[in-house]
Amino acid sequence: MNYWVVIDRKKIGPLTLEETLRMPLTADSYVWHRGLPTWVHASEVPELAKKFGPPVETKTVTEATESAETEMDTKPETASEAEAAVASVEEHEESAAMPKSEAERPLPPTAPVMPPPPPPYRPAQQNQWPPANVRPERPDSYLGWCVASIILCCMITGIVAVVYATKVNPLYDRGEYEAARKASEKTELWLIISIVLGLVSLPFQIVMMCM
Amino acid sequence: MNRRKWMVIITVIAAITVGGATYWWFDPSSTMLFPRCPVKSLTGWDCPGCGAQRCLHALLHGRWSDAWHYNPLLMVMIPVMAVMIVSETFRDRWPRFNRVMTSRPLIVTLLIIFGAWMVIRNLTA
Repeated sequence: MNYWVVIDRKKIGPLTLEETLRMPLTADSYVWHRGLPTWVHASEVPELAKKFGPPVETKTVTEATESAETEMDTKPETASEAEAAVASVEEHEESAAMPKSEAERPLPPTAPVMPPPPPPYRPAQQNQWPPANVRPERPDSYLGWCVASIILCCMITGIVAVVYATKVNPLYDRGEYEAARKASEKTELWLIISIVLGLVSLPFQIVMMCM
Repeated sequence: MNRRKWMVIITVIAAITVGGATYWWFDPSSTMLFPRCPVKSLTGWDCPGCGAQRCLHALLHGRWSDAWHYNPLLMVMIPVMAVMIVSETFRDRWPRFNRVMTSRPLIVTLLIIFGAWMVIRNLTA
């Protein structure tokens, strides 16, 4: 089975289980493998959880702070605005409900009670990588045609085409669909150049024949 | 994908038929109608594919030993290329087969064979 992991906000994969265990994962690094509906924390994947010892039940807090962090990473203004809003709401509630005891406050102010993003929010963004809900079609690598163009058209440009062609499938397997498509297009271009160069002497020969 | 793919397949088959007829009808070694290899024209060396047109002509007339003499590599590679192209065209249907046929070691081996063949034929010619 193949695994994908997120390290430093970058997705890495596909990896085997051994490779995954060798990665610098923490208990709350995101991991995905086929069959999982969304990304999960590494501690929730039984094969990987052994690495971290018994699961620690701090999940809700870490998740809340993490989502706040990512919010800040992507759109800092809104995050700070939201924080300010939450703070003002808290203040307002505090002043309105003065008699309430301290114990009823849900969380210390260091971890502001932000409305957490709806559960499908993060997965919906991350699903664009390996999880294959909307995986584009595998682009053509034209390898057979490239080999044919080396022999039958023009060797040099044919080799260039082969170099691009061999990149298509590895890129696609790593989930870099856009790069794979670009490599496929480059292959196409060099194949056409190859064919044109193979035929380039033809007009001269026809002219020579007619003279 | 399907409609476009079948159009491509039909076009390729038609092109192969027309090309085959041309190479059966005309002899590349006595007609000036056929393109010259750009590598040979530029450098004077035989590229791995030089002789392919005469080889095809001989093949289509069933003269196997002549064909082998003109370009043995092409005779070996025609089935290989055909298999590679088929595996690429039907990569959705047989993904594992395509994986094998497009694997990097296979391509590198082919390129090394081509290079070695070019060196050998230029040294022995």
